[in-house]
Amino acid sequence: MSKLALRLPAEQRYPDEIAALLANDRDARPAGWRLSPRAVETFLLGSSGRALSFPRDGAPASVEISRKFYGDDVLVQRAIVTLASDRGLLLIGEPGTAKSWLSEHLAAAISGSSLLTIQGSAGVTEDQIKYAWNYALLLAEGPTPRALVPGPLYVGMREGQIVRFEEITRTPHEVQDTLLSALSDKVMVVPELRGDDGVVLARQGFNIIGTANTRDRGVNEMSSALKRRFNFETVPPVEALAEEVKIVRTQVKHLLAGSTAERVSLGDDVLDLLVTTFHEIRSGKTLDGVKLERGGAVMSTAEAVSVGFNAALYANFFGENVVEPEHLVINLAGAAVKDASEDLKVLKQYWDVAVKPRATKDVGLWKKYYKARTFLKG
Amino acid sequence: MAARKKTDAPARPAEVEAAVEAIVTDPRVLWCPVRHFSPTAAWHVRKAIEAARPAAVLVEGPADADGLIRYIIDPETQPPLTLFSSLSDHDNQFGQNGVLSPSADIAVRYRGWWPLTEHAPEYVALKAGAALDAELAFCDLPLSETIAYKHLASGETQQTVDDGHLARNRYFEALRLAERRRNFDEFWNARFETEGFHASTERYFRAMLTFAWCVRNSVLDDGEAALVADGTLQREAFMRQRIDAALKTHKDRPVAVVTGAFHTVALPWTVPAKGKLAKNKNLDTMVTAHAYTALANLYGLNRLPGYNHAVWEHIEAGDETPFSHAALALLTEVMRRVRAQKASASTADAVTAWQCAQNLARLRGNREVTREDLADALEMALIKGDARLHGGVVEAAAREVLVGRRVGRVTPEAGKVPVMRDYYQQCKAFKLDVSGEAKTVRCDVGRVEGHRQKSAFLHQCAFLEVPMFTRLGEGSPNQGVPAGFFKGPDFATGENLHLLGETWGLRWSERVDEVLVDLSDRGASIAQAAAHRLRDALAEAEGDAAATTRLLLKTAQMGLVDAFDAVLVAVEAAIASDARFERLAGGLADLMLLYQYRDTLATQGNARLMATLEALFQKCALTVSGCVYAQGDQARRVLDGLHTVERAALSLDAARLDRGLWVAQLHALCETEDGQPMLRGAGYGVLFAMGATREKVVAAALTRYLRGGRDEVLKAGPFLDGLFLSAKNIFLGSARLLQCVDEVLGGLPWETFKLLLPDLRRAFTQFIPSEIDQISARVSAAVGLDAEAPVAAALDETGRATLAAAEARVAAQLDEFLGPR
Repeated sequence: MSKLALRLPAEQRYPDEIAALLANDRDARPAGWRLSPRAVETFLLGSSGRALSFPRDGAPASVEISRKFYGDDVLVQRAIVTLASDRGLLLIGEPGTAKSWLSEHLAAAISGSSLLTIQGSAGVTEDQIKYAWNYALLLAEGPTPRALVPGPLYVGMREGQIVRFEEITRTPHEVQDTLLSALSDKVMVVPELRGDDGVVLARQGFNIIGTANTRDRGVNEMSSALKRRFNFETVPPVEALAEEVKIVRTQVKHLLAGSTAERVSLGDDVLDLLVTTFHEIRSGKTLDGVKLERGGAVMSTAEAVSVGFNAALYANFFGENVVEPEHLVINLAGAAVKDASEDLKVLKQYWDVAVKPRATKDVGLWKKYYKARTFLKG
Repeated sequence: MAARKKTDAPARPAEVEAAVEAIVTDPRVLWCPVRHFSPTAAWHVRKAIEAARPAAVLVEGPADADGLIRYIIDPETQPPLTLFSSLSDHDNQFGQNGVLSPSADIAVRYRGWWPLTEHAPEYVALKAGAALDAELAFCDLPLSETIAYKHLASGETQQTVDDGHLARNRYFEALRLAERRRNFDEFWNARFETEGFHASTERYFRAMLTFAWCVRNSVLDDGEAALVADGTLQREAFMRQRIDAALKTHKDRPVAVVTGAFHTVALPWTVPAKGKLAKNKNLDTMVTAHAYTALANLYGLNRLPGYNHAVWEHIEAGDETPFSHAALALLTEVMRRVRAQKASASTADAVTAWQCAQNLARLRGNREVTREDLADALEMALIKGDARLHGGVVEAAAREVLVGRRVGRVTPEAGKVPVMRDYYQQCKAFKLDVSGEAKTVRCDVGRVEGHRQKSAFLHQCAFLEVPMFTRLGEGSPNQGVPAGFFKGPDFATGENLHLLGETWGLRWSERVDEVLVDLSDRGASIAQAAAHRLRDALAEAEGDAAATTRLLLKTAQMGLVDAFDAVLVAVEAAIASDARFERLAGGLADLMLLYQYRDTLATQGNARLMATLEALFQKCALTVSGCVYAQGDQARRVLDGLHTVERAALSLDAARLDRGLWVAQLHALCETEDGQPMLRGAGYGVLFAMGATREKVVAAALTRYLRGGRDEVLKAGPFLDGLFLSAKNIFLGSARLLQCVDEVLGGLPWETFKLLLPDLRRAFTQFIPSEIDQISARVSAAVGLDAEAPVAAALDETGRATLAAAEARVAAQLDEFLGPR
């Protein structure tokens, strides 16, 4: 695929790592899986500094497997085991907690492709999930396999691959229940076709990873029949500040790679400001235990990454290629203020309650950060 | 092993191997490194002892409990058990009386537990040794010698065994991260429990020793200070002394030593302690039955004895994969319990859960399904949603199954501790069920002497928080009975005093014995234990008249006649020192109840009670005038206090109640013109009710408010509030007061009247409808209106126009008052 793509899927971002894992994988693989469960685990959690050798274009090479998921390692183990069972995996949690990220990387490691994806929304219809028709061919030939346009679920079942269903609970009930026969009987019937063409039996390796946002209450609830066919895993927000700093740093670096802002300097101290802000507002109290107002905005790690990335771009386009505290503030309002001016008040309160005292003590860059509050417009 | 200096290089593999080799090949001592409650360790220890046939078996436990070993291994004894040591520091040896106890003259009670289960290596070692007629002994310091380290260092009065340094060190932390294990338990269950079961005993011991050696080196990297501070080195020196003594006695055969692995790697090189331990007369150690629920609480719920027990049963049955089979059995049981809670748990769920458990074990490199694999699998398969919100039923069922409900039994030869003996004797005498079934018990305290004694016993047990009660209605067919385990005349709250009998909801639980053991050093009977606790409570309530009189009431309810006088002394001291009217009045209310119900509460013979009442009454009188400025909640409490003292003054048949003092002080309160108006009004009400003032005085006080400035007028409402609360009849019966109020209200500017209106309305809500009718009839008469006659006579045109204009004006005024909608 083109190197000009805005974002490559996981299996194309880490081809060497996957090749190295394949070359060194001696453990048993579930039928239809490209890698063994242990290798999938290593792909997600890293090889702890150990380099794996593999042949690249006929010559020996080695690569360390980087950690891609920061959080609960046990969650990853449980997710892998679920996908090897006859149940689907449903990742639930607050927005921005890396559910889709995890889903993408699991699919990439297990099936070699993370692109069989259904994006759930109120407008999703059954044919977008299962199959549709090329109407010209349909009219010309009648219902034939050639006229059938397979959807992600069809392809996943036919090829024995992982299908991802993002925001599954935003999809109408009746459309969600399309998944019932796929998950329980592992079969999809195409009534328009006859004989073997009319029945798709899921090949080994097929499974579904769903994600759902726990903040969207009032969105269509899943039927209990469908819930029974999934194992649920809750992806919590990152608890440890140090862990979150690592994630934001890694992700911002990834996003900037290949862009004009690749060489922008994002110092540890600036990163610390950014992550501490998100961490404290999200938890509703400062690291010293002072209570803070909580707004409606999510303030997830993903939002922090977005602010870091935008700040880096700003520093590249309009600054001196060094991310300053004011660059963070300029881009913060967009991330922190979503639904109401109340969110801006929360942000301003944060500046008064948390930032100002640190600025007064002249700790690190907090003074500059405090001065940049003029950019919090409202 | 000599102390390592920080500059030493970390332990090299050769050094570790040499040390381990030396330990396992020791010709005189069979060193058995264990982790407490480990079934695999217990299994290997038994095999080792059976093979080595030692002359003596020494086990980690308090050395003063040697004499109890015969009860522990008695065939009629069934674990779980515990050795329980307690030391009441009457001599203040540790200087903490008054710091860790409520006062300097109350001894701190230090306590320690050494639980023993069927799968505990220590218990298994004693049984194995007994089968070989080996000498059996405990080799650790008794509680009295460890208080300075364990208790005082933490500021706690109780301690128990734990993993200690084995789980908290840098070496293990690095190992845990490398293996991706959540915690010590998960690591241990994978590497030593399941893996270790499939290893030979020698290989298992070597692995344990290697691990413990590396852990110990890691701890010693920071120096010995931590091991000195927590008493580890002192304990090991004593253990070594005991081991040497056993070796001296049994020169020809080996001695088995079963200790935590952290100690085992040090003991071969430990210098023994010198000298004999002095016996501590305040130390008492006993063996009692224990329960798995209590054991889990002692350790926190990371220790799941039900799980270990299931594994042990499978090991004993010769199962080759005991962990996996135990996990499967427990999984089925959890499913059953979840279904019993009407939650979804189908066979398909069970199949999925088991599949996940096995796959998790495989992924994690576990030899068999571990406890963590099982717990994870249950969550994965059964919880449909956010585990924090939807996991309650499954988590509760899993915890119940993995903790277990087993309750132990100690051979009758050991005898029960006196307080336990007394408890069960009394239950038998009063025919109280101890089988665990919910029952309802009635006590006809008004008429039957035996029931009064039963009531006293139940009140004592409730005071001691013996867990033998349950909500009423559970054991009764009458579902209309209110919640709570007691219904009857409650002298503490003044509720249901009209009832003649008491109704109790009872349900004995396995925790009763644990609580009784805990009380064992407080007295030889339930009554003595209650009296002991009463003493502690009095010390905490010192100086608070309300709290101490409440305890006096409880003393009477509990029938602790012998303690009554001592508590009364405390009450008198509190009365002397307490200067807060509300607390003193609260105490007076309790004392009045006590006096009023002295027949029922069996205090009728107490002559001091009345004297105390009188003293309290006098103190109330002396302090009341100081409350005149009370506000908010305090004012409300003072108001309640005024009524209490009034009731006492009017109802108590006591010539020596200084009513004159009360009246004089109340006058002083009422005459404080800038005092809280509600309290002044109430004060006047009380004086009027006692015949100590006249309407004209009350009327004058009210008039001064109503004729004052705006702020003073606004105080009239609260004044009337207080007055009506205390003496409604003054208004109902006093034409003069009514006239006075009418005159002044009529002369008020409209704006001021509007402001006063809400408070006036509120004050008059004290009256019931018939009383309102009465007042309105009197008002009508006072203004010359006949209540029966129609208000409006026939009007001519001018009259009608005047009336219409007046009506319009009133409506406009009201609209203006109410403001825009």
